[in-house]
Amino acid sequence: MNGDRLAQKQLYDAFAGRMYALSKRYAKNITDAEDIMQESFMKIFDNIHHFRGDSPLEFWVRSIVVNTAIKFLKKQKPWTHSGDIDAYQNEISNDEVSLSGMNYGQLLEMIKELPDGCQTIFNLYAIEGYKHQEIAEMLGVSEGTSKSQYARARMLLVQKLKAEHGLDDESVRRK
Amino acid sequence: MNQSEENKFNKAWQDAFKDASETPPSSIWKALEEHLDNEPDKVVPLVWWKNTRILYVAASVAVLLLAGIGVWMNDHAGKQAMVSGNVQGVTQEPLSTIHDHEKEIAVNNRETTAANKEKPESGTDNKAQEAVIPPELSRSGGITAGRDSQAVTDSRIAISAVKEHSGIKAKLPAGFTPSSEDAPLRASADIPDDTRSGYEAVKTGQVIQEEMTGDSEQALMSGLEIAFIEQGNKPWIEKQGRFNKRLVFYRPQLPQEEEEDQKPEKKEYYAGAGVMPSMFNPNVSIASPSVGMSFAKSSSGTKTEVLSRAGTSFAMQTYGGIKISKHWSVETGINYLRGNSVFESNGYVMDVMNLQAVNALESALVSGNVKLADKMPQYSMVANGASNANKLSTYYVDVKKGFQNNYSFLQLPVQAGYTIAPDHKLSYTLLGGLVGNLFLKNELDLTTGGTLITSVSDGTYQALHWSATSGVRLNYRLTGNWSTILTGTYQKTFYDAGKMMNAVQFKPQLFGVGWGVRLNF
Repeated sequence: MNGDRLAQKQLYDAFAGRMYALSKRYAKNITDAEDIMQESFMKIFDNIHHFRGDSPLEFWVRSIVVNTAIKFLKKQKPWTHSGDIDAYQNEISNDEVSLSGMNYGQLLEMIKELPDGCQTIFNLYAIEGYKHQEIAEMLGVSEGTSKSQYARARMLLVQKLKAEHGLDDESVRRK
Repeated sequence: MNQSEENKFNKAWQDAFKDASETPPSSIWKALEEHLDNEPDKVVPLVWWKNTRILYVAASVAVLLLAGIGVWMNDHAGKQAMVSGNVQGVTQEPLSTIHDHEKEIAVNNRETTAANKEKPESGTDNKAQEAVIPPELSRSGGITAGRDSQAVTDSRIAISAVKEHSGIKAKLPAGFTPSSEDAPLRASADIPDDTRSGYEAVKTGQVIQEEMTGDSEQALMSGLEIAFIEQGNKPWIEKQGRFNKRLVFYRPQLPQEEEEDQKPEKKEYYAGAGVMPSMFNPNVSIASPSVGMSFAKSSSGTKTEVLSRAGTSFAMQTYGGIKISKHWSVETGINYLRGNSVFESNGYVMDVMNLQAVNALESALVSGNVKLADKMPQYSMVANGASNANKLSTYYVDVKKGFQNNYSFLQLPVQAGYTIAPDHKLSYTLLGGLVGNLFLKNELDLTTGGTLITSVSDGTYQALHWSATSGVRLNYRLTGNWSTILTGTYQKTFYDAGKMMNAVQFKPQLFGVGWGVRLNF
């Protein structure tokens, strides 16, 4: 690459913090997160001239990191159908679950503890805001798989949150 | 959990992670630098060689050109030989730039560190200071980037992107400051606030820069860059205040994968084969009758009339092409054309002593052509009879008769196409171009029976002649890649493609309607 190292460093400094947090949310461990970061920024440097400026630069950078993470995780093929959605829905009672009292580190740990498929799909659907149809296309799975994995992830997270707070905690209150 | 609760649940998670930022280990940048240093320079002009399909097309064109030149040379030499023969007949970048950049980075970093040390009273906390990109770095980045064109492009794009982001930041309400409502989790939890307050950082950054340099333009630039660093937070915070439905925190464009892999723009190629029944007419005319024929004609008082009638012919076609835009394409191919026709004459010359006869075309072809004369001894007999002193043995037989006159060519068409409604199942392509016709052989039925076969080496016809071609093609898409096509073609040669020094004019034309299949890939 014949690019200007200074511009590359500026670009890296501008986004590295948020993209590293993003990579950690998708990866299972620090090593994977660092690999995703490194690969993502190589792509970003190589393709910066393709950035058309029709969307914010951070969206573009972020999309590359997410796609790189997905590519990285795809090798593990973790996105299989994980069972009946209704079963997971029924597991989740009409409890309003709050995240208050939980810090960033605890929440990140909860996501990383999710099974592989759940983790990725929960990240894409709940946090990034993709639709199930889009996720299905990105991961090469069915829409049903995306929905079931998300339902499973949500059930597991609700259970963890309840466990953290305790059932009689005010943050988990029966409607 | 109903839909509303699900949305709340998701939003809570989005809020928790929307500003998440962690300092990456320095090893990542070091590894990146190492990778960048070891990355070989890409030689852009040769990228197309990596595309094997382009390579094949280029190789095919090269072969065709070489073949064409060879044939032309041969034809040119043959023509010169023919002229002399007829006369007788009448009488009877670079690593050093990167090092420079690195040195500048080092120098600038030292300057920045020194500047920060000199201004500890600026009052910004450490995190805000980290967010500030030293103006010297920005400025030197522009200067350094100007040293080579690629760097200029990259830097400009990066800097324009930075400015654009800053523009987004600038759209925030003038008095906007983040409140505890904007980040409830941060206020109540231990989530580290890396960015602190982006807006404050912007304002502080501008003050710092102005104090440090006194250069307002520079301060503005660095302010914009800080805004760029922090811009991600504010629009989302603003949006979230109005969110009643499921929050779409981030939705990049799906086809991003293509950009990432830096795949070359995909070109569409096609190849096809077909058969074309056609009507071929060689348009043979006799401009200069042979001596025997002239005598016989004049003695009989009859005017010789000749006519070429088109016969049912066919062409086997193969072709390949490339779409150069949505509507335009260019294609080439190889066809075998069997052109059948009938040469019709209102009479022929007969030598009654030898019972030999020749028609006007035979006579014109063989006259002065030693090679053909050897193939057709009857002509010599008739010609000798006509040149006898008493000339009594030669007669012109006034009978209208047709003779098969068939040709074989190898055709090399090169044509451009403009497709109408290319996205529809049924599309139309207007075609136009040139066809190189490589002469293979001519088969002419003789008056006294038998067939006179002439080839290129006989020097009767040009080895290669060019025809103009135009046509209309109907493309009907069968499946994703396969189409069936119906093509109407007209080909016309506008000059004499014979080598008979005007004795025989040869200007073939063809009209055909062909059917075939085509594969796009």
